[in-house]
Amino acid sequence: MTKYSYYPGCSLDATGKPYRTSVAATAPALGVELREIEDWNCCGATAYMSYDHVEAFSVASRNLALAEKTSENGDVQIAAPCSACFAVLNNAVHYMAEDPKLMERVNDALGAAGYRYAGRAKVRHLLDVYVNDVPEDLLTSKIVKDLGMVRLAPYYGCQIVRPKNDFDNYDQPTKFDGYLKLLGAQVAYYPVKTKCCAGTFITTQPEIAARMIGLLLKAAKDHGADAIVTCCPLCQFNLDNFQKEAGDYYNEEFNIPVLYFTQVVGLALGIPPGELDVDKHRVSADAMLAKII
Amino acid sequence: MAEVSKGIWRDTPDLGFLNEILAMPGGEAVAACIQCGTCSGTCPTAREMDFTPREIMALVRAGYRDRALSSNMIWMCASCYACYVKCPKEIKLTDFFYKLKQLAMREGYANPASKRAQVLARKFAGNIRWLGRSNEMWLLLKYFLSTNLFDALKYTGMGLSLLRTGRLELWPKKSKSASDVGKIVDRCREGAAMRP
Repeated sequence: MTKYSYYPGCSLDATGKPYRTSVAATAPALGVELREIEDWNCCGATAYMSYDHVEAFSVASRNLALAEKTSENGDVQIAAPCSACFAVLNNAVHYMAEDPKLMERVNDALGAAGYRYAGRAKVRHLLDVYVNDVPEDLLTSKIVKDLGMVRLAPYYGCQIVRPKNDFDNYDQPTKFDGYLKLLGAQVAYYPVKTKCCAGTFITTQPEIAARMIGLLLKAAKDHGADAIVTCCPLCQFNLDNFQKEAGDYYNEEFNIPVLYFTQVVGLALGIPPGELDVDKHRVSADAMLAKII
Repeated sequence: MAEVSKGIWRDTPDLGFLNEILAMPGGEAVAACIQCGTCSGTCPTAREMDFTPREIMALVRAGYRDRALSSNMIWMCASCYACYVKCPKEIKLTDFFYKLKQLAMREGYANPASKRAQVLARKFAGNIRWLGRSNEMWLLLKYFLSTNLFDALKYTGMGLSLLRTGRLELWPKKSKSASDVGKIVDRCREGAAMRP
């Protein structure tokens, strides 16, 4: 069993609660041991980068330093379920490795609070952990429900594959598709799988966001998906909560449930939907759930 | 400060601006641009921009400070990194546009698109310094108080749905990390003030 330092991120305590619930419900069954980083702070997200990049990396790196404290030597694996957190933490690790001056400035800032980052962190997205670290036979041996009637659109979003990741192609990744197949579901053709969900534009540029979200919903609808599956709480939030606005832009009606991949894993493992918080999303997933036998 | 709309700039090519950009960490990338337009072609929001990413690179290289920094392009970047991974010269475009954002914000360049994004960035940074973690409810509240409170009404339905399903954290909870984050941020700012 591999141990990971778990960095849930702020969204998982608020709008992304169903993600936290479904991670907690599925990880132990798959032998993924997540130890939450004690007293973690916000990763800074993309908004902080517009403000100041050294400050943003310093704030993010406090979490890296905290994770390092959990082991004396060797790499420390951090698992992040939120793609924005993953990208920020992963960028911090890579940029500091490339630029010793940046690392020096970050460590100077961390020193003010008594921390130091030695460069031993390795940041993994939780989807990467589920797909690559959980043995296939272990997963398939635990599947008790048949998802064969359900067609799912794998939506990666941008930040899990870009700018840098060690697990799949940055433009047309396929691992998530294969994973859903392994769970027994049909996979919808979904060519917009790594297009942007509009991120913070939902607040600052809502009209543009409606167009971008609509593109993702329309592709799922046109290709007959029963649900879109995401690996990011920000994507889930945008796609689930603004289907009316997106529909107004495209002049059609959208009613597509948007689930976390951990919820789909849980459903396949036979965990009741209520324990996975499937009923806590805006768009009801009842029609999709009825197809699971 | 320049508050200009397309067509009435008074800036002239200023190589000082180009040199300033070249001296920034990562800024030397502009010299490598071959103006192929791959960035503009991959950009999901290019159609909403006054200048496309390729045009911004050209403006920076020609030294048009006001035009580049008052453009809405840098604020229409959603940070999806589509251009970054496709650039044939491997220019870290998204990071470069972040630098331009920081410069534009510091020097007070504004346009209708940037105002809201700048408010969000400032409130976000302030929120983290205050709480250690981000609180969506309070971030949005402060954002709408500084932009247009009536816009917040559009989110009432969503807010109620979030509240009903226990996905809205009403009261700001100060995380233990807040005091550490405050010290780290303060040290960054002292350090930045000491550098030329």
